[in-house]
Amino acid sequence: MIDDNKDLTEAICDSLESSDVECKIINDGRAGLDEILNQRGTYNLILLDIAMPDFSGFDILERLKKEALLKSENIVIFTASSITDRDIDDFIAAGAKGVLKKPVSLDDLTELVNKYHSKSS
Amino acid sequence: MGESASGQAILGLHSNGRDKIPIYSRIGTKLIVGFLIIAFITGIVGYFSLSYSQIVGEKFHLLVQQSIPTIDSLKEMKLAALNIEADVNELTIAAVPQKVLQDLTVQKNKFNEHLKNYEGLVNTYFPDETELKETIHTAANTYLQTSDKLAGSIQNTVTPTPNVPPLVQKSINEKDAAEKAVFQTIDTAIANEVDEIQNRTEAVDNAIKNSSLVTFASIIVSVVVAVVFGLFFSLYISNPISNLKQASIQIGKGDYRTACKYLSKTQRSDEIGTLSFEIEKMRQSIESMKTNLDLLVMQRTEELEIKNNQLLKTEKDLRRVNEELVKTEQAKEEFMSMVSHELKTPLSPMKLYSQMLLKQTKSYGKLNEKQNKAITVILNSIMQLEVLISDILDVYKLDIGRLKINKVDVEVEELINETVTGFKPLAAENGINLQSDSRVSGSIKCDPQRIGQVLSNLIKNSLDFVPKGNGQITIRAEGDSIDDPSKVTFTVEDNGTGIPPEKIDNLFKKFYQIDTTVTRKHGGTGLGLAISKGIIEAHGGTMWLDKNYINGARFRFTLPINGEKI
Repeated sequence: MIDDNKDLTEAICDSLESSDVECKIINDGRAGLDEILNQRGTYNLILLDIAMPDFSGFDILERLKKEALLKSENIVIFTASSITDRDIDDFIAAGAKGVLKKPVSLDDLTELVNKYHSKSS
Repeated sequence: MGESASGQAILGLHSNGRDKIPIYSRIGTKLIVGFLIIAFITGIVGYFSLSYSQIVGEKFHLLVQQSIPTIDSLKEMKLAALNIEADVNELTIAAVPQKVLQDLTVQKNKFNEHLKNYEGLVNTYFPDETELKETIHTAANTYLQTSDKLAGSIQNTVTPTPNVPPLVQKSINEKDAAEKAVFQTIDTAIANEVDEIQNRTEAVDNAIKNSSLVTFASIIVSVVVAVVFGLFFSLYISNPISNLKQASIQIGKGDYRTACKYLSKTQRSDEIGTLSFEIEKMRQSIESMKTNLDLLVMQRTEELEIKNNQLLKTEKDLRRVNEELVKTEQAKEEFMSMVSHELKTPLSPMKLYSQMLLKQTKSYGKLNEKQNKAITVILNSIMQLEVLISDILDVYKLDIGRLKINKVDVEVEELINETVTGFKPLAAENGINLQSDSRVSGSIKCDPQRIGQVLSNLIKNSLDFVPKGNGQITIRAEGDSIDDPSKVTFTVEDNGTGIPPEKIDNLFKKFYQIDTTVTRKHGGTGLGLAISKGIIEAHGGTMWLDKNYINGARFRFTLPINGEKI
């Protein structure tokens, strides 16, 4: 979970605990990118926030696209912006797995996690 | 200033007799005078020629009239004298003397006649030559006398003798002497006349020669005079014309000074002078027009410059305003992002935690009734807030024309069913019959999220206003194949309380609520219909309330099949 909002990341992790899902929180863009690059293939699902100061989700996506990692990792864009944002469409076309709208409901989150959690096993 | 002064001078020359050129100044007059002079010269030439011809004639006349008849007479006299001599000689041997005597008489008469002629002529034309005339007269008479005497002598000699009788011989001698004398005088006279004729002939020749010379000289003089006259006159005309031509060229070039110089050279009192005058007037007029024009152009240029500066200033202002507008637009964009992000940010954890608490998982523990109620209310409030923020954002986007519509091909039936299915549980819970009725088989171009939003909004409204346990909501879609095949009409009708007539006009206005008690309970903001109408209109369709439906509320909207404005 890469998002600069600490409350939100806490909430998500707490909500996933009950589902026995291990959750790693990174509140900084660059750190998040580094983590993805260094730990390729480790994560079942990466939730990526767009609006982050200094190094945004778009920057991360650009970099991942360059590294051709967009397709291999399961990246879901997590954003309060309108779903029909064209840039997001581009990234989905480039390999991102989808968009999750904020504020997210517990059910939607659980559904998404289950989708990718089961894949690993 | 100099050019206008000389220009005025040109004008001044003609200011009095502008309309009438005095006769003596006219070109025609001068031309006539010139030709008259030439004619005069030719006349003089003619006159001299004529006089010389007259002299020739005169002289010739003299010749014919005087000298030649005189000489003819003398010659005739001589001839007659010779005939007399012949006859006299013939007498001596004549067999028939009568005939000879007759002829002799004839010849004597002839001689006398011619002598008389001669004398007459001399008397008339040569009155001074009396001496010769006398001499001839005497000689002639003597000759006649002696001839007569001889003739008589011969007649008297009856018998022919071999020797000539001494009397006859004496007569013969006398006759011979007289004959000699008369011939001599006649010859002299003839010689004189021949001289005279020669003199007169010479005089005629001279006269002719002189006449020819004079004529020839006169012709040359005439030609020279004519050529000179012609040259001068043509220059007299062509020079000023050339100057006027130059003046015109200079006017054409705009060099009014030089033009004036040329014009001042052609100041005259004849027709060319008036032409020059008029051209000068024209030059002045053109010059002043040009000056005015230049002035006007300068004024206009100044005005244009001022206007241009004003325009530039306006442009600058506009540019500034545009920049500000752009900034305002940017501010709107930023505001939108802010609303969409910042406002929603706290909602995410709020919602998650509330939901988790309600789930009552192991980590969060069980809730008592009061806690449950409290958290339920909290969660509901969060949901309402979520909806409100979303609605406000939509309304804002519609207001600034930034609502994004992503049109794709959407199966009408599928869209309606999907929306309806979402509401089925809630409807069933309240005993409301929710039905879909799609009479359109194909698809249309629209934004499924947004149209779904509209349908949801209408259904939600209906759910609030239909009677529980007996509610009826129908969603219909039909194509207008007869009237207009290009659009699909959607209808959402219910059997609820309907819309009071006085509230119909304000129905689609923002924040307008029919019954705040009802909508507030279900989290209505009064923005739903406004947003729905905005979405439909953004698709190019129209939305309205069917006023004729009295059994409840019937909302209708149209959408173009091809996604373009109807």
